[in-house]
Amino acid sequence: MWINTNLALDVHVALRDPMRRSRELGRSRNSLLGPVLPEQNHLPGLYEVPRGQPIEIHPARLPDASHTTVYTPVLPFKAPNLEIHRSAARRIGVEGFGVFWYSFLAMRLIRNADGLIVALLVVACAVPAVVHGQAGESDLKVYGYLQASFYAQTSDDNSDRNSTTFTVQQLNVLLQKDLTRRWSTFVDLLFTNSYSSFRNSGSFGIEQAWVRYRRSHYINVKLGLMLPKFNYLNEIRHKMPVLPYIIRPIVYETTFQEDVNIDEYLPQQAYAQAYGYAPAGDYKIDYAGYVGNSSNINRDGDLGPTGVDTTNTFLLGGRVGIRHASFQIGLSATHDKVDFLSGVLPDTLTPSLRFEGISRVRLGGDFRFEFQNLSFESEFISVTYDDGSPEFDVDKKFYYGTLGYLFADRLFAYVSYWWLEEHLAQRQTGGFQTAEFTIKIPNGGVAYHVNERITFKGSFARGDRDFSILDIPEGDFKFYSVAVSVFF
Amino acid sequence: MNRCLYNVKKLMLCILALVGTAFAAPVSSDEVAVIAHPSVPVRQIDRAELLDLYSGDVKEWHDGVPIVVLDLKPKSGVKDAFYKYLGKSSSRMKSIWMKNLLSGEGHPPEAQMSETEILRKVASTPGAIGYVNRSLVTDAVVELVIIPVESK
Repeated sequence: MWINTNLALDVHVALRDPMRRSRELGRSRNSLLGPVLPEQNHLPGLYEVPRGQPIEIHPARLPDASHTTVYTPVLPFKAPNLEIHRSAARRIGVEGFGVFWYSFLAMRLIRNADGLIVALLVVACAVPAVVHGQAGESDLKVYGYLQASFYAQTSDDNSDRNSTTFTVQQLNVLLQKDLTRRWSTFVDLLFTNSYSSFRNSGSFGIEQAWVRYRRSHYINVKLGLMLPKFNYLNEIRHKMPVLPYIIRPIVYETTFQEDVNIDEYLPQQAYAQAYGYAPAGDYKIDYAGYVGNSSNINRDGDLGPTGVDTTNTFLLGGRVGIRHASFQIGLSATHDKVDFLSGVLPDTLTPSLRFEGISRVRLGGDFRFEFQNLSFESEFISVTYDDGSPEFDVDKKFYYGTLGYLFADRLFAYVSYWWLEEHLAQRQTGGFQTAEFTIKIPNGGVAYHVNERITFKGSFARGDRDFSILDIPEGDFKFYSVAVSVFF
Repeated sequence: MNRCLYNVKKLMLCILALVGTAFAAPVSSDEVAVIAHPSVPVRQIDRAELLDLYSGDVKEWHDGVPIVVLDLKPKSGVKDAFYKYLGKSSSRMKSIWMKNLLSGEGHPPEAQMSETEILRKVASTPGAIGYVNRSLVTDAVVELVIIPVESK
């Protein structure tokens, strides 16, 4: 069995008998134990090796002879013995504890198909070659963060919404590696709401997986899956350790998805993005442009919305802004097309009657400033659909503003106000009934940094919802939450 | 009686002064020097440029050599003076570094445990930049900017 080691490498050379392998390596560092690698394949992570045959790369072949990496192919589905001796792993030039941790994590994850995917990603990305073959190539960095929370929600006039719950709101595992001085890659694995496939709770997703070419600060190009630059918060909306919020401004918050479809407000994914800045005195002119998939575009109603059909349209978007040491301001826009009623209305109707391929434009504005310990940030988002029918008005608007103050470098307190207005179109015989939904959420909270890695948070929000049609439940609610955010 | 009260006041003032001195961050020199490896292609740097380096906006010197940014881990008067000069508190800078790190956009500066370590690392690493008390500066590094320290 031959495996492309770029995807399936594992350094479990020490798995079966770590001490023996390390003894061998220590004794015969200059000998070749396995097949000689062809010179033309002498690139990190691109070797193909037969299963079960360990290979030691001759130190003379390595640009940095201080590292000796031993490859054997991974057992992709089951590794029978994962006991790795830390010192043994160290002696073969890898971070022993890291190998143990990744392998252990991988095995814990292999319980179903989802877990297998995660495990393969973790192993493939976390334990690659340690050979430093390119100038500027770094070791792989694996880190992450989590936020565990407790919520209590009470509703003034709808007891169905009264709830309390503990949850690991978010767990992100991040992998980063500089491939050369100019190329680097980054993977962001996102687990939400105590993800467990066998308990049917939470969700798992590859939030980002990209490679970036950095020419200079003028131009950077990312290829792969990424969170695009849209306003200030979109790109960092999941980075809980740098946000004071437990509940993010409502269009950024997955917890409120029953009220708000966040896909409509924000571009969720892009697949190619160019960005950078140009200095202008003390100021910097930021720019970003990207393409991606339109959400919810699908020409086959039987399949339901797939969100991957770019036959007739792409998501196109970008942001321009100006930045100074104490403030930044920017304008963002996207254009894509959506299908509203594909698969809902009969296929015999024309696409325009089924509201397919409707042009959607998102416009955004963001503003932030910092003055000593005081900070303020605010955003505006407008979503407009060009459906050609005045009856079918589903435009949307959102605003938030947050004023914060940092006490003694540790305690950040803020007050914030979120406002959202949605136009709704409800199908009725002979046309549509229009309606409006607004929600106003004044809220506030504190974030206390115990140290560089741990932050305790607390927040309170009061939501005031108004509907102009009767068959949607309404009611004000209060939302209390506490959380701990940990960077590891 | 009055004399006794006067003495008590004096004693309390002395205690307060001692306590204040004990809790104040020590600064043993009047100046902080921003230092760099002699190979860097600049001989002076202004505050905005320095902030660009420490915030990760600029990652290479003009000649293409990667910038290795060094920071002092323990809290000290030198560190306070440096960040005050940058116009950002230490926690604000940490927040910027964390945001870069979690977005895959960059790494935080390499934290060193002492100014001596910073000096040694800057002297031995092409492209490195750091800051130390000016009294420690040697010929193995170049000074890019001198930051006066307000006396405590």
